Amino acid sequence: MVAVLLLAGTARAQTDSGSAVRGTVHDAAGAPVDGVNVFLLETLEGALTGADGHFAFRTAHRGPATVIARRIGFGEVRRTVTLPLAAPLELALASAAIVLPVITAQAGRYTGGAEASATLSALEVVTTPGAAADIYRAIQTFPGLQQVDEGAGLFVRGGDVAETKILVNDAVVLSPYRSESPTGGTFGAFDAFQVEGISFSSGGFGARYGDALSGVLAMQTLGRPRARSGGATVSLAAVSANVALPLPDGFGVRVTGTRSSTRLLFALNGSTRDFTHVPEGRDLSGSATWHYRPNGEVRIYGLHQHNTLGVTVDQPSFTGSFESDEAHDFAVATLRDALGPVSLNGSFGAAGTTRTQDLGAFRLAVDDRQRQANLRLGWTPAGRLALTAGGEVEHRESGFSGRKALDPFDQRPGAPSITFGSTTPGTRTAAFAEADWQAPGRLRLTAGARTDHSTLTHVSTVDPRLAAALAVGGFTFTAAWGVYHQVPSPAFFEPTVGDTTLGPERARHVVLGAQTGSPDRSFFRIELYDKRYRDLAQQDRARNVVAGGTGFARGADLFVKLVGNGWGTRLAYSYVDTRRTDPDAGALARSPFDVTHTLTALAEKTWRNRWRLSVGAHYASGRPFTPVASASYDSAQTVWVPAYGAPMSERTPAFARMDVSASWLHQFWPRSVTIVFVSVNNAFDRANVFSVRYNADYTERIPLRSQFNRSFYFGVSTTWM
Amino acid sequence: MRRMLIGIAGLSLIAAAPAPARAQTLDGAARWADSAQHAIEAAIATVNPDRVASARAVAERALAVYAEDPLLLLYRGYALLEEATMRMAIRGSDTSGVSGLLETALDALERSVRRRETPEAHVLMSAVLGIQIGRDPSRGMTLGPRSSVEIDRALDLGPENPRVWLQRGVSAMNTPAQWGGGLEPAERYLLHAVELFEREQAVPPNPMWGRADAQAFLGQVYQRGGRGELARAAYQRALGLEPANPWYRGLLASLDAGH
Repeated sequence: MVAVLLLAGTARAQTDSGSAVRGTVHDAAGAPVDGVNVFLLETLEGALTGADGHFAFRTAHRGPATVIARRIGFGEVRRTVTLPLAAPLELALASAAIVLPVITAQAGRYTGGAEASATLSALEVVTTPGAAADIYRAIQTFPGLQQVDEGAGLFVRGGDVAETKILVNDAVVLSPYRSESPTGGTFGAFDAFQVEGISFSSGGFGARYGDALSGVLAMQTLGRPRARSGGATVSLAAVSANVALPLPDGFGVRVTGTRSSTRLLFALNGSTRDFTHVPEGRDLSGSATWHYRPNGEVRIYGLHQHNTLGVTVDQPSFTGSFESDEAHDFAVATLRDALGPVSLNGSFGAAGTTRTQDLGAFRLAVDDRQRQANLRLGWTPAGRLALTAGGEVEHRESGFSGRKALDPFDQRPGAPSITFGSTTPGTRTAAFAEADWQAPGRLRLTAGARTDHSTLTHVSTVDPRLAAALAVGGFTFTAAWGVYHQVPSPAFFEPTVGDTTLGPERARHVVLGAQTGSPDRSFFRIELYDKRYRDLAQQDRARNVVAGGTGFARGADLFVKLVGNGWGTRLAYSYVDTRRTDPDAGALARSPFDVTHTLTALAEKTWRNRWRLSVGAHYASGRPFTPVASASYDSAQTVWVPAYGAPMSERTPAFARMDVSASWLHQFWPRSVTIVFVSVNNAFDRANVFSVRYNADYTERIPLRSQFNRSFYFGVSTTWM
Repeated sequence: MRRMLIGIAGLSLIAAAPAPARAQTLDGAARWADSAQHAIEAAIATVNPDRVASARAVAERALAVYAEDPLLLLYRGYALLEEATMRMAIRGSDTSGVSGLLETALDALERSVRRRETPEAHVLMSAVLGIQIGRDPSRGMTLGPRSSVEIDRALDLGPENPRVWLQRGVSAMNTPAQWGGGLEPAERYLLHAVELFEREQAVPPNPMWGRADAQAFLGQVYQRGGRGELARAAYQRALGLEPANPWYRGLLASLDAGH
């Protein structure tokens, strides 16, 4: 390329007189950077660097001056100098190519080609085979997540689903799943087309994020619409409509409504379950955005969601229906602004959940209310250093009432049970600070710490966290270490059935990784990790809270992405070995999430910009469970009492599934796009098993098949402006 | 190669108008914007992305002082789009940063529009969105309608702006008939653009690119439609406006070679 391209046609003609400003620009690895715009702020005289990183130009300016170096994909560097220069300048740019060990997905927007992150557009989320247009299920195709069942639960690197925190516009989501269950829920609560940025971290995350032992999923909702638009989607399981309106003076609003029902889906495909009330729901969400100046934005987002479900459940002592009715409300207001090197992010959120669940002797009514506020300030005093500090307050009033059976083996209606009812208030306050330093040469260091205090645990914690990235040749090696604390669920503090003396749970992460390539082309990443748990709070079979659990998770994640010739392929493999205290046996055993191998391979092909075919193959090792070794009959209670074998000593069969999806884009009328999509899940109709149940006397073990046989799904979606 | 360039980008708006005498009265941001435009246009005429990057630097330096100036942002976005287009089209070019160039171009143009709406900014946004869809068809669902909206907004703001009609023509030329494009509407739009360019009185530092390009693209429409003599005449008119332009020379040569 051109070695040094001197400024052509500037307003101020450069002169041959004056002094020379020359030097070299390199990146963190010490490699020269070409195409860097180096100039004097006072005169705007400058030049681009050549392939060797050198720049040179002349100026008549004398005395103090500011040299600025800028290039897309790098942070700006400013250096105060005195002209004429005594010696050539050495400038180091902080590259955006080196990132902490996180996987980052961007919905609705491509990241820069140099950014070391995995990217997904909104449509890629929607068309991920087997994901059923659900964000969480699409994220499950990334490494570091275990396939525990067919739900949307995010089980990250051997951790429980509750150990992954989900945030929307910086606010913690109180109820992130639909039809919530101990393994998450059937789907995520948020529509892929209403989200424009998704960042998922599977461990080693920075001090900004707290109250999470394993992972963080942070999403941003769509901002101010640029143009009036509308859309409608009709599919086998849902009907939805959305409207977006830009308003004068920087305002804009969006509204989306969805009505979902699986009635047609199950009528067409059948189900392995007997529903007394098929899963149904309705959503209404909206946002209002105001750009009060180019760098300043206020955004308010709200969601109301209602889901119902009734399904027949066979237990040894009882056959009946599990009935669930839940309503979620979530609202968050955010403020973002930047003034020179200082940035400001603030949010205030409010959420509420009401939920009732009935199954035989068990009944639970939850009324959970949450208020939260957080503030984050960023300061970049110099090109090599960025400082972030902030704080958060979260208050929850969690009301629980109901009854639970005294004996886990006797769930019949009217069985001996204990009733409970209370409201547990809890406030968590936190503060954090983090410094991100680009050291000269090839190293980048991030150090931070946070402190949290909870009125539930009455304990203050301090979590130090460190991360480093080292660029060598075309590879970036990463490392992270940190301490993580999480306050157990408020339900665990319920005074009758819980334990009011619980302390915070703790984990320590160590992550080592290497990556090369670019996510919009070919990309490769491998990470090794080790997590140590202590002070875990868990529930046993009788739903009693057991404190003091310990454990570990260690494993490896591999991610490969190849793009070319219209094909996009990605392969994610996770290996995990995880054990934790079994709450029933009181001894270390395999974790219920110890799914040793998880493999996902996806291939996508686009033809003529209109047709798209995606194929996904999934494999996962079986899930551990504790078998029943024998049973005796209790004539007094007229119920069989099981005796359990070694904890988590058996596994369900391995899981395998092939999914295919296809879509077709067409423009039926100007300023609109219509997409027709169809998918076949579990194309080979494999009878996957996620758990087992027993007959009344425990002499027969009955595998519980996955909810879906081979199933077809289709729909049409139109957007117009 | 040139045809490929056009096919991918649909926008290689090489400076065409005889450069008017520099307005010596311009000052501040306007003076820098005028300089940036001329530097960018001169660089584009070389069909060398490195030279375009160098010219873009003029606008970027000025933005360090005149942050959020709409014209400087417009010219920055224009240069980024052209640079991305050339890197995609020229065999052997480094394309690893093209996504970033396009995103940055869109960001600059959106910021420009926020400060002051111009037909050119909307036209360029439409072009960026079109290229993004071409690179990742899955984004057509969301970006396709928006690209149409940007063109429509450009027409609302500048119904007689020749660069808007030029872009409409280029888009139509590269869009299949079933999606509303084709040679017939492309010819109509480009002829209208040519007519508007004849009447345009460029006022520095406002945009003035596109006059010769309109002839070049019109020639391409004729050539694709098998009307060789009309194509030749259009290419010669383009060369009459910019005799040294290598792209126009190449188009004429390809016509002579029967390609």
